[in-house]
Amino acid sequence: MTIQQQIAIAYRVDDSGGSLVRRLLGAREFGVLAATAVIFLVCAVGADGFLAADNLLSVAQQIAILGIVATGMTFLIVVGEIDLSVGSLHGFLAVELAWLVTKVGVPVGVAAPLAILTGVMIGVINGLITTRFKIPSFVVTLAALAALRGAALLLSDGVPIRGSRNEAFTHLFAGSPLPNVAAQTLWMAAVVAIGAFVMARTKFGYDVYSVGGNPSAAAGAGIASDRVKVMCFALTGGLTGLASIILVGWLGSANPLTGNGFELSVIAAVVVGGAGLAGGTGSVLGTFLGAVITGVITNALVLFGVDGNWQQVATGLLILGAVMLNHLVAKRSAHGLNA
Amino acid sequence: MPLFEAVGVRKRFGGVEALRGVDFSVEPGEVVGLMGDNGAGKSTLMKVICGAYRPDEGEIRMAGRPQVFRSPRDAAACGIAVVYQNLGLVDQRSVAANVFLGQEPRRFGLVDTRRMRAEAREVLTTLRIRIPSVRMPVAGLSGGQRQCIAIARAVHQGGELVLLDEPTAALGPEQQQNVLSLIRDLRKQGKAVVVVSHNVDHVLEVADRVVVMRGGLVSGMRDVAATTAAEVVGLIVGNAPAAAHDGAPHTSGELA
Repeated sequence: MTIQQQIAIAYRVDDSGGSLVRRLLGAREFGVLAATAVIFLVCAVGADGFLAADNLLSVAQQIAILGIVATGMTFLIVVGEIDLSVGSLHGFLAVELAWLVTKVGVPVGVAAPLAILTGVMIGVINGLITTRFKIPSFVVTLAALAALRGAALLLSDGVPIRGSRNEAFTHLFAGSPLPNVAAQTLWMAAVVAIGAFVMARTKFGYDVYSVGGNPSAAAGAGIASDRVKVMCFALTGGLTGLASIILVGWLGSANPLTGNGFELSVIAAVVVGGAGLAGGTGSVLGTFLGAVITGVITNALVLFGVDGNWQQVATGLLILGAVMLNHLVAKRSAHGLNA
Repeated sequence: MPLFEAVGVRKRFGGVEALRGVDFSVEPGEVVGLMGDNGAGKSTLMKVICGAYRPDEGEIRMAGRPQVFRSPRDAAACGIAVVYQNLGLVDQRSVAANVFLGQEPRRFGLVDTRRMRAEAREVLTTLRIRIPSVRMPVAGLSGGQRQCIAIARAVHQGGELVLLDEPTAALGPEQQQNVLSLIRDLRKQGKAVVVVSHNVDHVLEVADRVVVMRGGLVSGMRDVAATTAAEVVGLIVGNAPAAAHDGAPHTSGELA
C-alpha cells in the first residue's frame, strides 16, 4: 500500500476542482457573471429593442475602448498599483497621433505605432517613478493625469485636430470586417482574449498575482517585483495607445478633451469585475464582464429614456454594489476553490 | 562529515559585535534546536546561514566545501532553504501555486498547471501534509497547514538544510503537533533541520541536539537525550556569571 493510498483512507483528496457547476459557483467571477445575467434579463424584458442584434452590436462597439484599457488596468490593479492617468493619456495619444499625421505629415502607418510606443514609454516612466522612489502610484499618476491633459491641450492649441483620411487605416481600426461587427469590437475581443490568457497561464501572469498578493513573499521567492510592476504600467500605456488609435480611426479627429473622467469608468469596470484594490485578486474575464455591465446599463438608460445625468448616478451605485458583492464573494471563496 | 558548518563566524554592526566567533554545524538528517534570548545572536546567525548577511570573519562550508553566499539565492542554490515566521505565502493563490511560488514549471512557455498540481500533491503526500485540495487558496487554511505548506515549498525547491524560524509560535496545540511531526518526517527523509524557537518543550520534543546562544557566542550544546528543560533554560538565561554578557539591542531585529 502506498503512502498516497494510506492517506486517502484517512481523508478525502480531490485536486480535480470538482464538477463544472461547482467550479462555476466557486469562481471569483461568479458574482459579476450573475450580475451581468440579471441586468441583461431586466433590460431584455424592460427595454424595447435592447435584444435587437443592432443594439447589442453597438453596445459591444461602445465598450471596445473601455474594454481594451481596462484589460491593462486589470494587470495594474492586480499587481497592487493603479493608473489614474489613462483618461488624460488616452486624450494625449489621440492628439499626438492626429497632430503627427495632420500637422507634421507623418504617414499614419508610422504615427500609429509611435502612439503605442509613447504610451508604453509614459507607462514605463510612471512605473519607474513609482518603484524607484517608492511613491504611491495614485500620486504619481495623478500628477501624470494633470500633466498629460495639459500636454494634449498645448499640442492641439485647445481645438480638435483632424485625423488620418487613409482608408486602410480607418478600415483596420473602425471598419466592419464582418457584417455588423465593428473592427473595434474585434480589437477588444483580441485584447481581452490575449490578456486573459497571459494573466492566467503565463509565468508573467503568475508573477503579477504573487507580487500583488504578497510583495515580500514574491521578493523572497526571487520574483523581480519592480520589473513586473513596470511592465504592467507599460502594458496599460501601450493598450491606451491602441485605444487612442481606434478612437482617431473611428471619429476621424482627436479632441484634446478626450477621455476626461475615463479613468473612473476604467477602474469601475475592473472593480465591478471582481478585482480588489489591495492587489492580488481580479481577472481579465471579470473586467470584461464589468465593462459589459457598464455598457449595458448606459445603453438601457438611453432606451428607457432616462435623463443622461442619471447615468452617472447609476455608475456610482454600480461600483458601490459591486464592491459590496465582491466582499461577500471573497469571504466565501476563501473557504472554497478557485481563488 | 557535517552537511553544514560555520567556523569562527564574526559579524559586526557598527560598534557592536553580534556574532563573536560562532562555531555551528549540522549533520545530515539531524534536527538542531537553536535557542537563546532575544539579542543573543541567533537571528544574525540564521541570516548568515541563509546568505542574507555576509560574515566579517569565519568560514561557511556546505558538505565540507567552503562557500561564499552573496545573497539568499546563492544559499538556496546550495540547498539551504529558510521558512520565515511570516511564511511568505500569497493568501489569494492556491496551495499548488504557493508550493511553486516563483519557480512555476513551464511547458511551451506556459505554466504547466497540471504538473504543478500533481507535484504539489506529491510533496504534500510525502510530507504527510493533509490538504483536501491543492486548488484551495491558502487564505482558507489553518495556521498549522500554512506553516506546513511553507515548509513543503522549502523542501520542494531543493532544500537539504531547512531553517525554520519559530515554526510553532502562534499555533494551537494540535497544529503545533502537526508541525513537529512534519519536522520528524523531514529528518526521516534525510533533511537537516535547524529550528529557531523560544519554546524549550517543542525543541526538546523534536530536536536531536540543542545549541544555545548568548551574547553572540555559542554558550552551550547539549544532546537532547542527555539534558532537561531546566538545564537548557539555565543556559539561555545564563546562570554562569562569566557568560552574562548582555546581548546588545542591535540584534533585537529578529527575523520578522
